[in-house]
Amino acid sequence: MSVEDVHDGASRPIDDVDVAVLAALGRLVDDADPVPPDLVERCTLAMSLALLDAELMELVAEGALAGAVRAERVTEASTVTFTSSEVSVMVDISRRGGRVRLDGWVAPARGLRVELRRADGTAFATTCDADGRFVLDGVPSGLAGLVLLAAEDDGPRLTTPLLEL
Amino acid sequence: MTLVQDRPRSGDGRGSDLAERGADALRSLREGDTGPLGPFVTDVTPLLWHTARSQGLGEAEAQDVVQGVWVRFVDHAARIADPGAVLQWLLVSTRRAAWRAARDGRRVELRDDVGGEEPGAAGASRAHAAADPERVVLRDERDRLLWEAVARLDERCRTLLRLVALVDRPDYAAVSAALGMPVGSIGPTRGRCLAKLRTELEGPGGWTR
Repeated sequence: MSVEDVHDGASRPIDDVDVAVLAALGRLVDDADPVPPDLVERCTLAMSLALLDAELMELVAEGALAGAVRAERVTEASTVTFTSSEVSVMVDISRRGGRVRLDGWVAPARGLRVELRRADGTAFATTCDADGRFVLDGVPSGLAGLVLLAAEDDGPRLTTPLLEL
Repeated sequence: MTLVQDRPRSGDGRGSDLAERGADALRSLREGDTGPLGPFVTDVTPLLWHTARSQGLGEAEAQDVVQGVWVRFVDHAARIADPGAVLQWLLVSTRRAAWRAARDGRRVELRDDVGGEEPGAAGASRAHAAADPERVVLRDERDRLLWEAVARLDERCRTLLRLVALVDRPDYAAVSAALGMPVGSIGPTRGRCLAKLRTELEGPGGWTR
């Protein structure tokens, strides 16, 4: 602690008891209502997707929350659909062992590059085939976001809300 | 809502506090460098979490609010006029978003614990009381005395001290200022809340001895 912060600049100095009281209170506040362990990771991933300056697709599924598709945490298999003004993507998510497989279908069909970006900074990428289908296999479970990018500059740039795979 | 006009000028030869690091994160972000942003997000997210929860939001919705505020920060990076006000922008945005979410009542899980709240309190204060943690771990008598003493403070002091308590001492002033205390009264205000708490603690039982 530096000399400058010993006084609070106005009425009275902070003393060691103040510091001890606040330290004890901080521990109680944190114990009472701990920050969810993956919240920072979630926020960081969401920010990195936002930095792509891409259009955020909308989740089409009942009961889903705006932030992450955690409502349907994938246990065995599920299907989620995202839409945007130009493109929709339907994704079948299945689990095999500890890994996740995504079978996707982009409509209308076009050769978009598909990236699955994970919270740890790793990414899985592929390209849609002529029918607009793509497969991403062997993905570790955890938070991720899909990014769909057209090869041409004026084509769509899209991201999905976060998925909890 | 009080927006602070007199923010303290942080970083004036005092090393980086949270406000200064927020400014640094924003300036870097505008230049395409996300380096300083990561540690800043790690350190500020707990403050945003408890801010959102203090408005009475359930866990899932509070997470969505915090995530949404960070995303908006990225989206609005070019439009935040004063980089020094980033911490304040984040706290105020979180409180407003959480308040709106609580008001809209979508998926709000108001908890039952309203014990100790005076009946005449305003709506926002009731929401705050509803978010009072139920599962606080009171390890000993000192914890219990402290928790009860904080609960007896007015809402403004309670909110201030609970957030200030989450940061290290060099950041007390930055967080106090970001919560809307004009710089001239940071001391008295923080002093007022801390003094009230100290008075509570110095009663019978003697937390401070």
